[in-house]
Amino acid sequence: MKYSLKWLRDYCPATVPADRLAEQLTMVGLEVELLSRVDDDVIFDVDVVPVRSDCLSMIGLAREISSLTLAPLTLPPVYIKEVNIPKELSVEVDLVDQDLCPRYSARIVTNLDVGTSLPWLAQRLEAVGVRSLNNVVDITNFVNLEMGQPLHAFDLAKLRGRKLVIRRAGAGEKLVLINDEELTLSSEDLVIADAEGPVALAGVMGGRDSEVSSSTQAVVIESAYFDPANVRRTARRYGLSTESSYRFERGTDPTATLEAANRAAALLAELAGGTVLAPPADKGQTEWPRPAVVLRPARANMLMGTSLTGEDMAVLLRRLYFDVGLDRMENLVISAPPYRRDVNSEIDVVEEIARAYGYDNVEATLPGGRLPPPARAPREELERKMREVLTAAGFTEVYTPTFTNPEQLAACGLDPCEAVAVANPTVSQFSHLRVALWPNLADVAMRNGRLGAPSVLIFEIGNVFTADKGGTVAEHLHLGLLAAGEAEPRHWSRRPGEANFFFVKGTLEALGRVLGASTEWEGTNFRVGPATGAYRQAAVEPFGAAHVTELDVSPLRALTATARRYRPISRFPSVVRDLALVLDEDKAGADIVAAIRESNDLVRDVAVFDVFAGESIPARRKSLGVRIRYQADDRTLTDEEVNDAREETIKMLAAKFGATLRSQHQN
Amino acid sequence: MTDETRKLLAETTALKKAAGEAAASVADEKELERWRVKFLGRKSALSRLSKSLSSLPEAEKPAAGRALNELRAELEGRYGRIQRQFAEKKAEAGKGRIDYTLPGITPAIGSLHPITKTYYEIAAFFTALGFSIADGPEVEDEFHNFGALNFPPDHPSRDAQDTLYINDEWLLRTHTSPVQVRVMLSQEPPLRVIVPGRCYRADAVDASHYPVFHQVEGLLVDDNVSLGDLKGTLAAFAEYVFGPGTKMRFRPHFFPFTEPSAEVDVSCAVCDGVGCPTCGGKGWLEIAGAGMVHPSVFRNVGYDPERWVGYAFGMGVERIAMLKYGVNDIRLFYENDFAFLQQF
Ligand SMILES: [Zn+2]
Repeated sequence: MKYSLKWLRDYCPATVPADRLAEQLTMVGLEVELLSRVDDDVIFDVDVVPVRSDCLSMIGLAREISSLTLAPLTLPPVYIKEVNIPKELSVEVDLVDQDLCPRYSARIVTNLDVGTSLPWLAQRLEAVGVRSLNNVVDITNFVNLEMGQPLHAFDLAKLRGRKLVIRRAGAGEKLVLINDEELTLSSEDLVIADAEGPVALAGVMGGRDSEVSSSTQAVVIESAYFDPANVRRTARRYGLSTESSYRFERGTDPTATLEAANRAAALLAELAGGTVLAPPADKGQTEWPRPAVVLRPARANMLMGTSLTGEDMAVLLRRLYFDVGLDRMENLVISAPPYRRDVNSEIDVVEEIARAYGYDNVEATLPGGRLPPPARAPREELERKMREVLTAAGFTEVYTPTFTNPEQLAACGLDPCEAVAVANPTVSQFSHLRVALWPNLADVAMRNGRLGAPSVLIFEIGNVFTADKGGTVAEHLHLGLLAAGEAEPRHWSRRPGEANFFFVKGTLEALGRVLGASTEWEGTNFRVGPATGAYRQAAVEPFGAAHVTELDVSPLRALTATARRYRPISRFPSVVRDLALVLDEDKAGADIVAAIRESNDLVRDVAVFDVFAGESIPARRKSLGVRIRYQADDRTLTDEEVNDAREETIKMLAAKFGATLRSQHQN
Repeated sequence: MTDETRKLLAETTALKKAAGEAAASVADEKELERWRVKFLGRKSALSRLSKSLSSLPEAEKPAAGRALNELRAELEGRYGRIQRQFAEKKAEAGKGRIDYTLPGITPAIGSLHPITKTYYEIAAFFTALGFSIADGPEVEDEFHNFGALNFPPDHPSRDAQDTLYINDEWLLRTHTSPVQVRVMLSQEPPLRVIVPGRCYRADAVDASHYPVFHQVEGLLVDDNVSLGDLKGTLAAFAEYVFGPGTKMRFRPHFFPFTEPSAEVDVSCAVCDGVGCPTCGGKGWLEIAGAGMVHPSVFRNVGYDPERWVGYAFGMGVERIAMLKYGVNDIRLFYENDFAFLQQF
């Protein structure tokens, strides 16, 4: 809210320089976000937190300034000359739904001369960004800004049946607002109605038909306390936010309604020639006692980390216009002023003391106390390990939005119906929750490719979402991996290596090894330990194809805490033998490798170093170059032993796979 | 010994001396070849002496032969040594042809996203203080995201939490506080935990807003914890992340789940607190919200608010990263341009 320093000084003549005052306000929780000098005035733009609605007025902020600077607070005197209401001008106020309007006060002012406001009044309003309309409306706005009590003026002549009924709307009832918008009302809305229908949306906006105009002679000034939550629901239902609804939904001071109506009436008499009629209407709850709050000084000190005496605390609270007494236990018994509707319990009072004492004066200490035993964080550990392996393998981590949209899903061949929709998206391309990471990774690859990157090796770790039966949303932690272009940096001193299926497969195998899980493939589907994933090629310009894997790593979280067992290492040299096998092209390499590994106890490692077909190889056959490493734990192997083991393997391969030997090398 | 033999032995000794002197002045491969022809060639003195061996008396042949063989071995050895020296020199010279200024093969090292790096720094500080790390779901319900945290229904305190909803029951969490609720519902104090994770707000996309962001929240519950402890913790944090000498201040603020509450500012490193465009002329930059856990929150999770006290804080990781690295547009974090990512 905007405040004029000149206006504030009407109530509290603090002489502190403006920027110093702004700093002080900020440090008691009324952050001055902007300070601007306009002519001979200074405008403070203050961020008032929702529970401090008492500060949404000049007097409210002046009170805080008075507490801060100890300068006196002077409230404007209100003198009203009243005459009794003549019968033809009486208005019956009927408060039907008191649950939504606990108090309703109103005054009638007649003989009005509606015209332009005096310059000082117009200037006061315009300084804080409120347009001057006419003296009657300006006075209601002025009192709202001065006291924080929103008022509404009805043209008395336009109230049919001379009645004001405060009631819930009938479902489907219509009301045309001051802004010409026609509402079809809900039975949960509170309205002010005359004998025939609604004339105002209570606490939010008045109706067009009872609006004050240049021909208005008499007005009913409404000053009410409306239920904050209901005003908020109604305002949101119609997408309205007004100076009134803003204050009412934060809670106004129910003890001040009549006072505000009187202030407005007095100003109408003074500035618009009005005659104030008596008596005022004042329906509903007029007494609002505050419960006493007991504050234990020792507890307050413990919470703040201070060592103030009870008397110190009482002094600070009295500065804030709190009533402070003592009980027999030396506890402070506190009664907050009526406008401080946010102070209701001991902790609320502790906060007030801390604010008044100054957060700056609280000594900074590190917590002592008991340390809880550290707990493992499986997801954190898993993520750190994956990041370690993948960045070492040359992959760059990316963060993409958690969202997707039907077009992206369709373009990626994914079913948009399986994606969870966001009910109120703010950005159209973020209308659904992502079901996989790779579509966003493909977008990142394309973006960087177009910017000239010769290769894109990227990964992301993040949640994806699917609709579960029963309307719940299932979350899965995924790892997405994408490789496109050159897998290794290009250099003239060697041949360039292109990213392909085997590059991403090998990367996943390395990841599995670090996590202590074996990696198994079946076609393009794979498992890393208990986690399942799939490989696919995605069309990504300008690379042609990107090699993508996506893995649901949720089950791997359990793996990080699994202890590994040390396997004794051999101190004896190993011996390597190569086999050049020729076998049918449909025999799977993985099966051959597994069979060799099983064929003899001395086999330690099996690696495929060459695959080719054609040339000297018969049709439908392929050549597989396999390097086998033999080793024993307890002795140096003799040539004879190794050759026997090799013969055994060759026999097995011939029997099981129909493999023949093309040539043989020995190292 | 015959005169002939004596003469042969004297000539051998002289030859050894002459060859040694001549070898010392051999400067290149051509001269070495000339030396070889002169001392080891078919027409050399050594060759002539070897031929004359047959004319000596039988008894004197072995001694003379040994002397000649030794000389030959000596000369051949010397020849080999000089030849190797030249070869090494040649190889050494050949190496000089590499242009050492050409670029090397930089291994493809990936990099961590700046949000991860910033988070790791935050986590390092708090784990050193004994905090554990917890996580929880991003799709949450009303109770965990609002109700348990003391947000009254239909209250303007919810305005600051512009929420993205899935349906009437489920929403995208607006902070990681619901995980704190889950931790308190499942564990007894004392507690020290930080909660990192993705959060969501119904924001449009611009330089300082994005519907996705990351938070780290912290919670400490014990039987004697103060606002001073919270200040001390975050003051040390500010110096850890932004460097020694970074000042911190607490401004009173309002959050439903803490009381007293504060917004936490650090001194602007760009202008040293004087005021500049980065800090909006204030000299301070907001980095976190914090406060003492509200007794209602403890009641909602079944802790006795008379027995336990605690502090809580929350910070945006993007915000910290932007201040730390001088990044002026939050969208850069989600666009993933390599030119951006590779700077971290
Ligand atoms: Zn600055």
